[in-house]
Amino acid sequence: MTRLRPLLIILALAIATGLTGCGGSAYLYEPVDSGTFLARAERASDGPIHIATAVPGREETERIFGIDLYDQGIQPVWLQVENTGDTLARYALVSTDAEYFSPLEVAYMNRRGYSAEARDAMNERFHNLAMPRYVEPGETQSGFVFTHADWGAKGFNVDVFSGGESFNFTFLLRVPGFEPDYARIDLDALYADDEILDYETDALQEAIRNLPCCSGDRPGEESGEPINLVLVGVGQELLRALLRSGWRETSVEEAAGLEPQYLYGRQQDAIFRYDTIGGDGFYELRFWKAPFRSGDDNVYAGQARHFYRWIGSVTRFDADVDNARNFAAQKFLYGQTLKENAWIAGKEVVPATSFWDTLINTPYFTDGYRIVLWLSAEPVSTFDVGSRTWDPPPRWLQQ
Amino acid sequence: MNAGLHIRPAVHLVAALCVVLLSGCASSFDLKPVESAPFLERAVTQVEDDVRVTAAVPDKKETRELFGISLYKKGVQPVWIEIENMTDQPVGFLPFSVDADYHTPLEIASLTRSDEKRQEAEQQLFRNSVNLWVAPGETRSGFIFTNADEGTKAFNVDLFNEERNWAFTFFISVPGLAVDHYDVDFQAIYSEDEVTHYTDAAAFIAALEALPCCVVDSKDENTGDPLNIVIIGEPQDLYYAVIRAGWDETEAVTAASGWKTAASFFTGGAYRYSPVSSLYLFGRKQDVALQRIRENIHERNHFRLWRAPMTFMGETVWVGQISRDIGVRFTRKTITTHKIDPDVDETREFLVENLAYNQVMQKFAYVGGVGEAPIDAPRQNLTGDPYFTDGLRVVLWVAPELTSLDDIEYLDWATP
Repeated sequence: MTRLRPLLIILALAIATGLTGCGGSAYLYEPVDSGTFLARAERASDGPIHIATAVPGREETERIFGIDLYDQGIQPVWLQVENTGDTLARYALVSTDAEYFSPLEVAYMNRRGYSAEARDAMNERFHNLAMPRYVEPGETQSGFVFTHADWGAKGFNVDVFSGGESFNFTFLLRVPGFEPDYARIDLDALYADDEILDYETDALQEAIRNLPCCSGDRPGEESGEPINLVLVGVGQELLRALLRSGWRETSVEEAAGLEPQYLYGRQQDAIFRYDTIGGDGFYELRFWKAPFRSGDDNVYAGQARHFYRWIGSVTRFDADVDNARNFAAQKFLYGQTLKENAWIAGKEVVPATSFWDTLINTPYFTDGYRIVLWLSAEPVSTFDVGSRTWDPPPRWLQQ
Repeated sequence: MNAGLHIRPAVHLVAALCVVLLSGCASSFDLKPVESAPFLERAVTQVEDDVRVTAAVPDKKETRELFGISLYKKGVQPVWIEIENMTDQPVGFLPFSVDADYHTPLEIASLTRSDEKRQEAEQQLFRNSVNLWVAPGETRSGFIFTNADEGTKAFNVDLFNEERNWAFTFFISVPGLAVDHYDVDFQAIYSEDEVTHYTDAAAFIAALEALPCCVVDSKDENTGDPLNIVIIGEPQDLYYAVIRAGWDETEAVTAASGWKTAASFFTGGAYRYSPVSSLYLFGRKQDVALQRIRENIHERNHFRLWRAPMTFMGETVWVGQISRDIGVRFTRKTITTHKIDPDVDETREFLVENLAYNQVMQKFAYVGGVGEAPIDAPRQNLTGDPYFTDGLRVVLWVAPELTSLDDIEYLDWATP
């Protein structure tokens, strides 16, 4: 940052003094450090790579770039990468947003109404403030990545590659005014230390097998949909894996507007969603931290469901809950976050025929299987995924 | 207990409305038998290591006839897949590989009008969806409901069992749009004596750097976009890789086979469908033209490749050009040419990351050959757009055997 600042000030002055009028307005902005967002920067280090990052809010963004980028669905993420190693480091922009906007693209999108000189100044501003990909040994680089806007918590990854190794960071920054639903509770304090049982593999299998079949509308009931997905992993790594696979957090407000589901006598600890392309519908995951773990790994009992758009903005629950479970598993698999998986055959099978039998009137159908997913914060190649032979996977014998 | 139940009253209301207003919709849902459907004549079959996969795509009209619903109008395109498992283990199918945002059978069934019809549709569509598992010795088939593509439908089919995986790539032409690009015989582009086979890295680097800096126009007079991409891999590996990474060749339909056929062929209707202009190298139009639609359908990246008259370690070498369209959003109503991001290195590096994060890149390196064009002395492409570059080309090895990020090899040829 410090290396950039003199240049910025000169630029800002040049624009302020030289470029008024001439068929369009001038391009005006304030220095990057004029706001307070840099004071919110979070830091993380892994080996020789040291990251600082912050996300300016809407007004801060408008001050820095002179344009209301949030209004266009664009959110700049400020990054600083310090490389104290002895090999060149490369930052991968797509790790932060697979569909990021390029700096000159953002400038070009906003060229209207500005004079030719102002456009040049804008191009220069965006280009100079862009986060460089490469950081030489012993150097520090900083700049902005132009991502798709998240209105609440900004969860993103920063992957840096150097000397044949990858350094993976996950950040969860609070853009002012947003709390994820799970921030309501202190997940670490849910259970007393002596309440959490530590299971070896066999006991873990048994404990997962013995989870209640379903969540409930009320505490103590099992009237809801199946607990068909179990995540195993270290808390922060699970969050990182969820974000990396494309799931988004829900805010306290958004989650409060949804019907709660109960397990272990309490509401779900967290809700994540994936909005399918075109805004037609979404997949939803709900999780409850289980009162057992396996070594360092936490266990989260979960539920995958799919809702599709039906009429207008009304969504409809997809009765094929197994599809939701299988979709979620593939989302992790193709998101390179799945390390291992196992299946548990359930006792509560609801055949598809009962769903269509109007006399029985079940809200869903299922093969009764539960999938157990060991997630990894480090990328795992899709076909390197291990499987534990607990129960054979579900197979439809009849078409 | 869930949103499904919450909207029940609405369901009844709507159902009642349907019955009252649309008494004509009382006819039952009736999925036509697939076995005799004409679209199966266009089915494509591939066999690899005891697994046979057949796929076919009904067009707009055939889809309406099969399902009784105009699915294309809803942006939905059914793909029929049949899997024969000749191994001695169950084989799993991953619908995600065909379309990461596939639609579910019940979702499609909800497009029918009446409650009664919907229930019939749910049952029939569910039973005709693709099975996830195929037992040893069995053959299973069904539909997967994808997001619609025009022209050639390109998709992957990933299968697995406990020991290994299969990765198939399909190109199925759907009637209604021009020529099938994949018919290009890449092997026939050069005769054997025209191809130089390199096994020595230094000689190969020199050959890559000696390639022209840029594409040219059809008269070979003006130079355009820089040739900053080199890809190494066989045609089927290249296609698996780019499709997995979200590219499709819709616009390639007309662009590619041009050099093979009389030019007059293309002055007909086909050109209308090809907003991507042809660029020239080795005296011909691009062999492969791909586009990648981004979140907004008007934002695209374009990517063109030519087979080069050389191999490296026995593998096919491609050279190409990539651009990020940044101007479509504001100019699409009046101007048909696309404004490109002048930072062409940025776009080049996007491709590197795009392939790497989709696990289809094994190694990469950089070579010279483009020639530096600094930001304060930019060059121009054929449509007058300025660009600047560090002058390097990236060399990418692609393969369908997936490579995780940590296993990608970087060869220290030239440093960007």
